Amino acid sequence: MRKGILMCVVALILGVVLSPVAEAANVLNTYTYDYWGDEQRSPAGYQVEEVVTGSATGTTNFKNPQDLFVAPNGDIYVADTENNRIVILDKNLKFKKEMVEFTHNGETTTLSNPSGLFVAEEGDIYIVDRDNKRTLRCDQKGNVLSVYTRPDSQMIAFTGIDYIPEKVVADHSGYVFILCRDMYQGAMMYTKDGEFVNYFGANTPVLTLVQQVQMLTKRYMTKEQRERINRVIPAPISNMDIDDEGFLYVSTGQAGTTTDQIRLLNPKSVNIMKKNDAIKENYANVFGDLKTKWASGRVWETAMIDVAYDGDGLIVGLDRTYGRIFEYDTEGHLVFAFGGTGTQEGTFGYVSAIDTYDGDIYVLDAEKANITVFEETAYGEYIHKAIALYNEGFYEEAEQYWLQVVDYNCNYTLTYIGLGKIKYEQQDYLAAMEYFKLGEDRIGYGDAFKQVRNQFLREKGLPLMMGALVLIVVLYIVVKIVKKSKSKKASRTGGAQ
Amino acid sequence: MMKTFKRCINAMIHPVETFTDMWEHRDYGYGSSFVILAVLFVVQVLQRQLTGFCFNYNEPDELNILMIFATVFGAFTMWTIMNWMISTLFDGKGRIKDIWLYSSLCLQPYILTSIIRTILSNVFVPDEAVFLTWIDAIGILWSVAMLFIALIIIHEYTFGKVLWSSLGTLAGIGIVLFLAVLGFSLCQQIVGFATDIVSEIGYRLL
Repeated sequence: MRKGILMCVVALILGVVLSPVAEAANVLNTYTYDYWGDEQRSPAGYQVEEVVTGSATGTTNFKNPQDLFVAPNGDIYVADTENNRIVILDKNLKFKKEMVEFTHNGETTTLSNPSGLFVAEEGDIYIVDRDNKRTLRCDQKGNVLSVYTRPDSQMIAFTGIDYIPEKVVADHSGYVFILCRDMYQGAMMYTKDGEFVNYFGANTPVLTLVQQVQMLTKRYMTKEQRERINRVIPAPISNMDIDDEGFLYVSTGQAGTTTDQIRLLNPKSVNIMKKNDAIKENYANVFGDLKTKWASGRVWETAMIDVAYDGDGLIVGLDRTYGRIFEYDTEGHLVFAFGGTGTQEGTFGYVSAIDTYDGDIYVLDAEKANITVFEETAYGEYIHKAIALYNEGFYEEAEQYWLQVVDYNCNYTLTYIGLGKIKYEQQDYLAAMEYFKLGEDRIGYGDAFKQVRNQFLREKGLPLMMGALVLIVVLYIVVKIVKKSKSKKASRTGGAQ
Repeated sequence: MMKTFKRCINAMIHPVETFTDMWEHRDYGYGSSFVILAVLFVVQVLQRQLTGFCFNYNEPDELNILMIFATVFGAFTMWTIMNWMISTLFDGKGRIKDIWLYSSLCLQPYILTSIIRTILSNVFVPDEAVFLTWIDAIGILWSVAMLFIALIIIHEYTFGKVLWSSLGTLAGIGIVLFLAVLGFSLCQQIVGFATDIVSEIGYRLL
């Protein structure tokens, strides 16, 4: 009998311990960072709408496609690199046409490994013809209008560096920005007609401790020693996007870049990307994964190889190392991160480009040679609406969306800060204090607390002070009486002796 | 008991008289130092947890009482030992037991101001952080002043000597910490080496 019960208990325990945990498979693995920089799971903000390979669209398969661009009219342009062509798909991802041959000065010319694409509003197509070391600007029919090549300018030191153009964007006035491989001086800026103007948007170099010490002691080194120290050069830009005002969104993906992986450059090439105010100070300007990992013998850190701006307050960055998409708002807050490497839909092999259009995200996978289209989920819609209203200062209007967000996800810091601000405007200061505490917003909490404190002092300040005064007087009298009785006692005993 | 307590409080207000008095008569026990250190430990933990939200940047998940214990007792012990060692260089006359006791008495102002600071931090707002910094500063300066006086009396130093011996003590603490880290990482390497050998042998045999 006893043995029987024991066996049952053991079987039960084993059954619980050994059974596989059934987890709702969130293949998109969405997460955010809380104030302390710890990962918190999040509901999915985007879900896979469609995954298409080249043949699914009606043409041959892509081969190692390196760039993707969604034009203002919804057409999707793919730089099908190793097939030496540009493929144009329509809004529904059906094949529209391909561009293989181009006419330049009456002659036909072809592409050699085109790796970059950009389509201007008026329909001009900019193609980086990488192995032909040139960038072409042509019209929709394939007539080449301008060619951008290696400049002869005396200004730049080009000794020993190959000119290998890879990516391109152009602004409204026709200025063309071209990114070349390993070019640490930043993007190369050309006029519409192909004249080189200047470099733009170089990164600031990150000095290791050894290099910092070297910088300090440079003055005391001999000439030979100075030549031997490694040149301090900044990381090259990996990709760019441009907004309607001509501001460049720039991503940097080189190993070792731990901050400012996404920058927003104004026309003076100054980084005006906002620092994230909902996270600890030292993580405020880190984009991508906050912590580097060691696994399987190598360092895993975010390599931001592309960035896209949706024109409406959301910035998406593409991380090649983890195959992840990081979405930020224009104030630098991380909305969420999702994606990963793998074989399922929604995961990637080797990502090469990202773009946004009409609320959808398009990701190009060079290894799987497909395009994944993500659409907003309900949660995504609520959080985007809430953040948009919050960033514009419409705290009240954002309330209904924040409440929806909290229903889905109670780990998102900004929700509580948003709700706290609403309560503060409604003058419900105690509730505001509670929300700010949850959102780890010490400044907001301080403001709300100040109001509560003032209220308290106004109502109860005077009675409190009167009470304290009375207490002091009473204590004084009591102490005096005790002292008097003590000395009386002493004199009495002294007298008795 | 009351006498010890009164003397401790007096040490804060009239350090010179109290310390010279103690030094001449040598009629004290060493229990009060442990009480003070225990109080300091408790106050440090409470400070970490109970400082007002506006000024508390400690991550709640990462409270480590053992760490705080080690820091408080470790730092204090290191100070005492190094001071005693340095005192031999400077011809100081204090015994290690005395350095321990007098140093612990000097912690009192710091404990007091810590308590006041923790309480006030719950009533203040980030804009008023200056007041808290002032309270902190007063506590630390007061403690340091008491410490100097105590060292002068115990070791029979001049003021200049106290300065240099204190700096020497701090340098000594730095060296000891450095050696400890060095030793620890060496041990790690040895252990790693041994485990590597064991696993290599394991692979060969199987």
